[in-house]
Amino acid sequence: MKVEEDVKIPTACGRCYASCGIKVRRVNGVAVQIEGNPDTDMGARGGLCAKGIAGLQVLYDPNRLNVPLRRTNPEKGLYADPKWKEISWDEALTEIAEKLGKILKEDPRKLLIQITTIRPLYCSFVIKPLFDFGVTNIWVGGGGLHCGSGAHAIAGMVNSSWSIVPDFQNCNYIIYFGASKGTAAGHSSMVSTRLAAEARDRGAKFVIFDPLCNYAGGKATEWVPLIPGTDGIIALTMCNILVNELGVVDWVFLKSKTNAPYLVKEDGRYVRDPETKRCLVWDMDEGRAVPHDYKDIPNYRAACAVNYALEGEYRVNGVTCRPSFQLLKEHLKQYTPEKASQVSTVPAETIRRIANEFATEAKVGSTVVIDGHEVPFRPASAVLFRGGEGHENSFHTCFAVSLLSSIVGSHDVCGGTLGWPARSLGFPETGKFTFSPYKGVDGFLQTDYFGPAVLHPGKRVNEMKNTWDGLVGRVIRETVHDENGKVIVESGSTITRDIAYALARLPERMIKVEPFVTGGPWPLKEPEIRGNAQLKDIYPLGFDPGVFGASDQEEIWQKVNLPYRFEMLLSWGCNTPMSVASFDAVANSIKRIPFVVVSELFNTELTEGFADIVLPDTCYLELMSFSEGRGQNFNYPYGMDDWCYHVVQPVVPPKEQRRSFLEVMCDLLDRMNYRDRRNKSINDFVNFDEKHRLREDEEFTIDGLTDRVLKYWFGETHGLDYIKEHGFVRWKKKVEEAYWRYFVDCRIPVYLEFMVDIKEKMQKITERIGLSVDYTQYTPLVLWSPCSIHLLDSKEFDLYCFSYRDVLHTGSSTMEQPWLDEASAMNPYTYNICMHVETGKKKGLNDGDLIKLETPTGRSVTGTLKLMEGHHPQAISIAACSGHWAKGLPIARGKGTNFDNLLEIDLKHSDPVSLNLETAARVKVIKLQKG
Amino acid sequence: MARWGMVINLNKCIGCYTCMLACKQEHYLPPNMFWARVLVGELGKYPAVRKQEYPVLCNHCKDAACVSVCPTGATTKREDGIVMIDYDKCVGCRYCVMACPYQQRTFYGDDKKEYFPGQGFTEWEVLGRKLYPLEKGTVVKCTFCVERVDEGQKKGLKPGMDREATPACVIACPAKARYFGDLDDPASEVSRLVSERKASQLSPEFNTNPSIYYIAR
Repeated sequence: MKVEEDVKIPTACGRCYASCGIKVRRVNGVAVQIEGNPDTDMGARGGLCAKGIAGLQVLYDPNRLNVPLRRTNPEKGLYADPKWKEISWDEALTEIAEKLGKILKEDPRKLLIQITTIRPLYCSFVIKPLFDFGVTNIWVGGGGLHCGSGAHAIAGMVNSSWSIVPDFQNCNYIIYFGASKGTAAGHSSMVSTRLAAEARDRGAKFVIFDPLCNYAGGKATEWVPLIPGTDGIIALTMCNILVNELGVVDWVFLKSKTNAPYLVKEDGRYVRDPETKRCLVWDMDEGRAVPHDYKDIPNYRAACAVNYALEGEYRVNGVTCRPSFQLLKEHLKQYTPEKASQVSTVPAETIRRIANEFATEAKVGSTVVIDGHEVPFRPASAVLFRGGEGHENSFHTCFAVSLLSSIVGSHDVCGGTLGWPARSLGFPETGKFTFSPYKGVDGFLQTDYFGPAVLHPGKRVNEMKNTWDGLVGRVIRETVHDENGKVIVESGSTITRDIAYALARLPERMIKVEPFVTGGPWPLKEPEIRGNAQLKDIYPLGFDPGVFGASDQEEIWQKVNLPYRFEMLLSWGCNTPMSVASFDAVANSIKRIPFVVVSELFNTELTEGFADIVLPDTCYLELMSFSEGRGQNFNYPYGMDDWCYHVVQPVVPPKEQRRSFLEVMCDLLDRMNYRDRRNKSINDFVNFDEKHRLREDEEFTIDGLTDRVLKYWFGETHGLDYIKEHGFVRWKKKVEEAYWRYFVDCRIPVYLEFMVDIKEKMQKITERIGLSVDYTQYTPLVLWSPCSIHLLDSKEFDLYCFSYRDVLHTGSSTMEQPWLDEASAMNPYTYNICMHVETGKKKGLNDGDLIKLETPTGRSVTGTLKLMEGHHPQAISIAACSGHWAKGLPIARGKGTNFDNLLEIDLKHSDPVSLNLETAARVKVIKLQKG
Repeated sequence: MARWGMVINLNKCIGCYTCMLACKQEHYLPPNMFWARVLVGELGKYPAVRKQEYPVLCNHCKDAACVSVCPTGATTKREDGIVMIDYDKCVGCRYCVMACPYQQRTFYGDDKKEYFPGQGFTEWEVLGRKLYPLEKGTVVKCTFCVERVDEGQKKGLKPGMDREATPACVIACPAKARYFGDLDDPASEVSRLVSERKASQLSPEFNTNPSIYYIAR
């Protein structure tokens, strides 16, 4: 045959939220091969994962949606037959525009949006106009995040980032508490795979706390099985050993980078200067109390010179007080290896030994010079993610693990525990993409970029009460007047020190700067009832609660007097019925929404069961999208790997009548006569200046807009032509960015003082409205708190069931690709339910038996059993999110077992602080059939 | 003349099946045919357990059993070590399939299998059969991506060092666990890895002298 064309298109993968750079080979108009882009750091430098390679089977799956569909069967439910009718785009969008337009006019809160977690950055741009209308209800994480609330909140407060990862390139001792860095999908999955493999090969020790010896546990130097949800007590025990037995503590870090020296009085609150309200510390050199920011601490040398007290008792303004570290030190004593062993089943000696090893390997006090900068060298790191944090003790567990790195001073320094890139000094040619943590309220870390932007719509940089440093150097996007109407600063100007000071003196107001502005978790908002459907107004630390699908949803909304109910659900991807929790509970909440519109690649359990209109979406191989690269502190290469801004560009034109969600949104806004507002949103997102902004009524093509945006951000030579050839823009990471901790003068908490006030304020509200909240975990000192699954006293429901990430899958979206299905069938564990071999034998079970798992509330799943040596005897596990039944997914249908149906979804089974859902369940095993 | 071989680092390997699928992609293989596979298991007793991942493929043995049994001479070993199958000569007797102690050869008997059963062949499958035709009724297996190796060398590229001239499974591995090169060159990366890391062959007792070495965990 004649080869008329054989080209490679550089673009970005869209099969998990790592967005690795790829190249796709196209021959005679057909995409034939996908490979990792060897020229970028955004990925495995030429390698890829199986999911990425199977992307061709997303493009060419004959079950792809091609025309808009309308449900003609009014009955909705998990197994309902929608009886689709094909309709025209015009009919679909006319109806959607009419209903959406009405909602936007009447009350934008009546719209619930959800977006797939696989490509949140694409949507950060697509749905921005809706946020600018006042839409606030978004269900993140693929229509129902049931993890991450604790982890992202703590990583935000401590590392100014979305999550944490070891500095694999330089770390020698790596502890995971329920994480899959380097063996699964997710943030920088192939970056981590590449780096973790190198670390393993050069002899770095990986200590993996995990009930399962597969993937993460499987690559451990030392696999440490434990009861799910007990990571917190182990971390606290290690902290106790470090502080109270070994005395291995990074005093410099604690004194200069944390609130360890902040003086605390009897009631648990800070002692504050009566006039300035600043928190006070005791300066040992001067023998008196001084404000926390008494000394500027611009670098490591200055930090070493700080001499604030961490222990002792002092009297300030007639008040007896102690540094918070003194309280913490005493508090930690109760966490003994023996107690932790009882709770977790990890031998006490093992915990003690690991704490000792961690202490030694952290090399507290050492430094290294990189590019002329002296930075601390702490080659020991402890991280956690879903396995450790997905429980009713989420917030405190995450904080306990974070505390380990605080004690040895390894946060965001060479070799230690890194946030994803939290500081950027800007793209060298244009200065765009500048963002940084800075000193905020009470001296704590605040940030103006906490991505992905889409997840926290409408949040902006709060004017800081006590300091204004962070605003200096930023470009402001609005003209600000003082109380007398006089202009302080014009829109588009750069903020100088004087301007910042003037802004800081204004009464409470919000200031918009730079395109990323989303605002991190600090400072916390005051608890109050403000009509937030997720209770985030009452719970200041509630990150992404599951109220949207909760079984006690209506009861909650009655109590908070929610003045509206959802009239429309707009979903991009997502498989809410099967990927969150109990199918029935979630289904009931979706059923209540009268108009459901889904933009999708396939017909899924969500569309078949609940959608009124389905729109055929383009996949990432049929799409132009410039916002995909906006994940700087979400999925960018971390440590000293380069900044790489990738653009998604189409390999083939969209087939049939598929239209990208981006195009559809632009069309909808036009139909609703909101072109001017649409264009304003785009201008805000890009942060166009006056010269380059879109005019009110301006029309554009996606290609044209992409070219314009890229040139604006990266300079005239980096427009669409450049991207068509290279696929991405790259620039070097600086030390002051990668290991920013001592380059920015700001602090993080080791003592959660804010809990004292929050508890008091929340209690007033929740008692008044009759909302039952367990306040045991609202304590300023981090604690171990057992979850319902631990407290259940039952011999019948004897096993802890949990799910885990399998490298072959992302959520529920990958079982439809035949290659991934083949690999899953070949793997002994992926499609099966796994259990410890002895536990199984005792129950008279064997490999291949058909079994049913049932919870105390009667929720159940069935599947095939696989016995393992590498499994905690008291646990049972299921990989990924399989068990599809949708007719639109013939390859995925009937494969594997679904785990999520076992989970309760209500306030009672959530972390009372972060509202993270409990993601493990107690079950009993029933044998249905011999294998 | 080079003697091509491979080293697989089991320390780095995470058992992600990328190599297996990259191979299928490179050669447009039909459903349920694998020229590279990943075997997964466990070693040890609780709690001292290790996961085992073994990416396996044709070993291009120096003393290949398949070559010695082939009645038509379809299976031969090139001077550079690659064990090849001439589809014109192969009659599909499958003697080689039985003879290979590593079970890495497959009989291609059914050319009707669709990736989406009952829904026809996708564009990719249709074009793939033209770009890389397999002969129904013959035995097929890994070829060390001989087309890439040969075409690459013609362009002056080095197999194992330059992507275009290197087998697909090697360049696709995200953990960089696979290496390809000249086993007869003591200075090559594969030779150095074999000696420095004490890499060993799979089941050397089969006496076929595989060209693939594994670095143990």
